Amino acid sequence: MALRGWKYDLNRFAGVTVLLLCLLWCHSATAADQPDQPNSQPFVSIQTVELSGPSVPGTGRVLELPVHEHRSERKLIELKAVARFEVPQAMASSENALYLQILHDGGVFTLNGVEVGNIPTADEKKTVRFIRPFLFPLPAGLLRAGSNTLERRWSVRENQILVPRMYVGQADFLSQRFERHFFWQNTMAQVSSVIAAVIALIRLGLFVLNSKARAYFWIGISATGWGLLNIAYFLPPVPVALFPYWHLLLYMGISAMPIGGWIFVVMDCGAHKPWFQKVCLGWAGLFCTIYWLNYLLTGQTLLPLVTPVWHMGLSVLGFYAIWVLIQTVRARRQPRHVAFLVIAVSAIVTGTIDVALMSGHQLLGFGGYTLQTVAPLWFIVVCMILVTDFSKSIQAQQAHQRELATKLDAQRQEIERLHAFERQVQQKQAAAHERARIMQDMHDGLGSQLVSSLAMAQGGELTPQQIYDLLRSCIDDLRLAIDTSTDSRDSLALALGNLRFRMEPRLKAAGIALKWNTQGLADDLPLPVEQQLPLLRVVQETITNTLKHAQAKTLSVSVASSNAELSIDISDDGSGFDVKTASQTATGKGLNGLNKRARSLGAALHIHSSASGTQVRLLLPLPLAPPG
Amino acid sequence: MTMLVATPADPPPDIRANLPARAGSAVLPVSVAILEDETHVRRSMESAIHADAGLSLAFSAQNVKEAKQLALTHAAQVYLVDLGLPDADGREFIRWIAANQPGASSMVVTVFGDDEHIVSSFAAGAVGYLLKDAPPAEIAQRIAELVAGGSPISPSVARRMLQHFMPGRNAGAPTPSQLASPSHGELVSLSEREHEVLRLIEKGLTYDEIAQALGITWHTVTGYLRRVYKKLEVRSRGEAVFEARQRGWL
Repeated sequence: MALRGWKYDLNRFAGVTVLLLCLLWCHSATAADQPDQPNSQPFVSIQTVELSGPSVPGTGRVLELPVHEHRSERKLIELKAVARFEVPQAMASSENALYLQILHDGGVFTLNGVEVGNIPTADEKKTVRFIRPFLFPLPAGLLRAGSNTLERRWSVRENQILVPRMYVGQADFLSQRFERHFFWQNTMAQVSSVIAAVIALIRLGLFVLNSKARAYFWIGISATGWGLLNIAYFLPPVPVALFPYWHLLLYMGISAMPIGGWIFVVMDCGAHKPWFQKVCLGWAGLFCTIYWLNYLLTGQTLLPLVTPVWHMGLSVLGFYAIWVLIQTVRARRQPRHVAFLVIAVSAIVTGTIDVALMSGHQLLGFGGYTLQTVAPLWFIVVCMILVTDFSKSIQAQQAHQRELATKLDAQRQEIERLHAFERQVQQKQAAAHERARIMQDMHDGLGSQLVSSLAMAQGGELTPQQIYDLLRSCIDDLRLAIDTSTDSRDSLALALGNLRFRMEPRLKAAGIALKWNTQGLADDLPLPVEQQLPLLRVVQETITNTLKHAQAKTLSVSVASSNAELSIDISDDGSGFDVKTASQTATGKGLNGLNKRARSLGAALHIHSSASGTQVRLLLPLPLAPPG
Repeated sequence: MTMLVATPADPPPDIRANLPARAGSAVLPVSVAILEDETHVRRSMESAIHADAGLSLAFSAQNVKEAKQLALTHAAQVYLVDLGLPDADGREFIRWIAANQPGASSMVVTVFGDDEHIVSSFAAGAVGYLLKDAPPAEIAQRIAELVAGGSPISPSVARRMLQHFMPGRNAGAPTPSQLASPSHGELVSLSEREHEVLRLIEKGLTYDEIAQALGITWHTVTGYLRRVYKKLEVRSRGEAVFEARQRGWL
């Protein structure tokens, strides 16, 4: 395998750690399996027993250990196994113990007529099925040099007669063996059950939270299976009535653990194989059905032939998973898949050894089930993957957040750019609008006034006073335009104030008292600047007319606004004029101008003049103020 | 309008102490100097001064250099100053007068009376302004008003002054705390009354109407305005110093 290009990220680190753990594990598990060397060991391995009991075929036969016999009927029977063995002188004097490698059905053990151990065995009410080693210390002096007799009396209800390997010898040495064996067979099973239960909870929980995470579901199934399988270690003895169910549960656990594992591994490799899931589930379901049917028909809970075939089938399904794994390892070279591969192969090997053991063929010196050694490893790897997946998802999330932040930043910049652009466009538009407005003003006001003044001057019909008046009115108009162009937000009140400020000294100089009243004018009148200017022109021209022609003593300007309209009333106490005549003559241009401006504003202009004075009234309908 | 009630706690300063006696009521006429480069306008202004018995012409100059020389020998009480002069900006002369003849008053003469020009002239030290096309009678009237206490300002100019004193008006400008050195102290921000007077001018009220609305005298109104002009000047000087420091000139 090429190590080139591997990065030292967490995932890789976890994978390598798992591989190292695997090696350590295998070494330490097989260390418990050192082959016996009778000559140098301080114990005696009992080789044969004489088995006797009712309905045992060929009762009184001498059988080699371990005994693994099947019987056809299923009823409670009492059994007795007697072993005779020789003990050397040296061993008899030391502190000794009896060590049973794996005991299924319990029983009472007596050595040379003295009871040394009593493990619950089957009776009318319960069925007992241990899968664990036992160690009984022997009273001092009980083990004799030379010939000794060990007897076991027990009962079975199952259709299987089992006698384990038995060793008698130095207590120190055998207890070490016992401890080691007990650790791998029981303690590890309990530890791994707890791990499995936690994993099952987490994985199934993740599946519930995120139903797309199907792989988690299968890991959960595998862990649940292992937990069920290990009930066997926690629950003996089992009441007779519940025993078939207990056994079914056990089988379901045995099926779920590898099946969940295989399906998860295949999924984790990225292969979507629904048919594989169906075959796996079908195989497990088929066996459980056969078991239950057999139990209903025969009352037997053991299937001597079917069980090994079924177990082998589970391993065969594993070959497919291994094939997928090999392909994935070659393609992706990820440590997790290497770890899966190692575990899958180990699982199949140990599973095969265990099936052989169940059928009475002990292939290793180690007499217990070996799948126990692989299962914790499997769940540790699963834990590691859970952690790596989690850290990966956190990393992915962080990367995603960074990416989002970057995108957001880019978008913000884009928005700012657009806003700047929009402002620019608005400024340009405002400038263009202002320019158009000024042009219009020049056209309507100063321009036309200058043109008509020019025409009159050309005709030579103007007196110096008339020229003065014309130029003054041009300057006034220009000032009006300047006053309204400074700030488009300027209110009408301000513009009128400026007009008053400019006109009042002139009126004063002419001896005309000005009465000015703008109290009724709202400060925030919604009047656009385009409308203000013609309005102010009307006011300015009316005042100028009074100044020039009326010979008035007082001039009154009153401006008021309501929601609906703006009213401007200008009146003087001057000599007045004939409105009809004035609007028809050339000098009446001023009046026509007023009318024109009022029309362009959409305002109504009323002019009334008599000998006692002139009243000009302008009414401008206002646009509806925006609500609020 | 409770805000218009006079507050005796804030009496106007007696600005008239620095001014010459009111035109017409004193024996001596008010001396006026003209700084204007356009011949016709200058002549029209000269004749307006000659026409009024209460006024006398100190001198008439066409550029700043000439005006400064003449001012040293023929100091006037009121200076009428055009802004666009051939050798320098009229505001420079206004500043020069403010620095060298603190008892004299400067009036700006402009074509349009637009607030931009006026306010910058007030910041230089001017205390009133005239429109160039003002008829002779109006010129004399404005000078008389100025001498009496204050010549009126337009609503637009009042508004511009209010904007000038608005807090945070310009991010680059010095903060009030930076300006509030012992030399100018509270002079840099408007008092409530000064603010109020400007607001009423902005609304188009005359001095008489303001005096009536606030329950104070005409002189008090113009006194407030003089103080506003002074603050404008101090503030603009402070800003100039500040800017000079920022640029490393000082």
